[in-house]
Amino acid sequence: MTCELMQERISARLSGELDTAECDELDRHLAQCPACSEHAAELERLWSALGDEPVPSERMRARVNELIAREPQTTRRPERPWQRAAERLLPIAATLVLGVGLGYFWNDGERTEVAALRGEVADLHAAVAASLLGQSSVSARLRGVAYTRDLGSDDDAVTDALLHALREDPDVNVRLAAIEALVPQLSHDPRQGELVSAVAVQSSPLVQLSLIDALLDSGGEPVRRELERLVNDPRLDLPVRGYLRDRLGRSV
Amino acid sequence: MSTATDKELMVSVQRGDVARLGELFERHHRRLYHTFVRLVNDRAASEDLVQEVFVRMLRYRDTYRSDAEFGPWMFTLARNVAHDHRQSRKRLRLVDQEPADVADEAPGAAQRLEDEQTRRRLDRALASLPPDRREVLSLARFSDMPYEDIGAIVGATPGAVKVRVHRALNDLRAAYANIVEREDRRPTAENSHDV
Repeated sequence: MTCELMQERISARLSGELDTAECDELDRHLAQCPACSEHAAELERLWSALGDEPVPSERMRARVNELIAREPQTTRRPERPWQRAAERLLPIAATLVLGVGLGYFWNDGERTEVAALRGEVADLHAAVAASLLGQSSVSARLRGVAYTRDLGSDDDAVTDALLHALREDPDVNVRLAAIEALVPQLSHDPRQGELVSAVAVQSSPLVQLSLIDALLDSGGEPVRRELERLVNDPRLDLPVRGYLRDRLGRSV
Repeated sequence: MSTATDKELMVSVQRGDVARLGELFERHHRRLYHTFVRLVNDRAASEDLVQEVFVRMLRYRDTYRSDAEFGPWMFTLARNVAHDHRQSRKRLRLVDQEPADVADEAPGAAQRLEDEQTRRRLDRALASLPPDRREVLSLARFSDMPYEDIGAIVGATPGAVKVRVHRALNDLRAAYANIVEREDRRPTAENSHDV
């Protein structure tokens, strides 16, 4: 038996892929070959070190339990094609209602009713956004964020739904998309402070770094001052704090 | 903890008994977490990714076939989650970072310095492997699946998986030895970089 074949077997044994006869043969070879024996000992040490990891935090268990608690305990049917069509058609319907309504009321000179109609359509947009952002499917929630961004609305209900997504959504991609939608919307808005406070409660450093970048790129001096307070906030991981300190230094 | 098999638990989840997903979480979250740590080299993000796997289990529960093994289905979801994570990092133009949890500031952390050092070196050695080798090595180490199932996930024959694992382990051994040699030659420089 060559040492090369035996070294392949050392790897296979670590993965539990070797039968008893092959194991015995390998052991006999290792007993008489110091080089392979040393090779086996090193690989075993590495294999063991690969599994030597701290346990994940309790926060992860809590978040999954929350996810389970939110899901209805009933038989779930797969999403029907008409549901997806309805999601797509709702914004179009809202726009049609606005167009027809505007024409009708404009001709009659009923401007106050036009304003009321606009308000109702804004509510409808907010309801569509909130509905999409509340779906269990991540892709539906991402469509919800894209929908609010396309709206360009500064409606408080839409902002609330996006801020909620940023703070609570279990999916990193949805939270990142919410940042993209929120930051331009809240630029120079008093509620920008809510974005700063969202930095500390994020569990993902990726989201924290994106939020820091977006805020520093679009925010003014007040945002900068609020971010400076986070440099020593123990809720942020050390590398995130280091990144923030570095970014603050660079954007002076 | 019930004695139900993973398949039985997943079928219950499919039928609407979502609480049983909690049992699957208890059984598998650690190995998923360890796999992600080795795949993406970021411990905090790995927790998010484990959570995302369970989100997708709920979302795609209708795609689970009761006659199929649960492990390969779960690790296929995990592989897709890791892929999406890498794509989103690319979009954000973030490069691979050092692991997020550097040396603990808490008292007593010095006692773990050696373990931390080994872990950091191993992280760096792993990061130097080609992604396909890192993936197959992580699956072989943590999934408890035979090469045949791993091959079905990564689109390779069991023989090819065997070769990839063997090469990955040898590459890892060489990379780790290089790092140790380089750092032992300049121990003070390492300290100033790692903190």
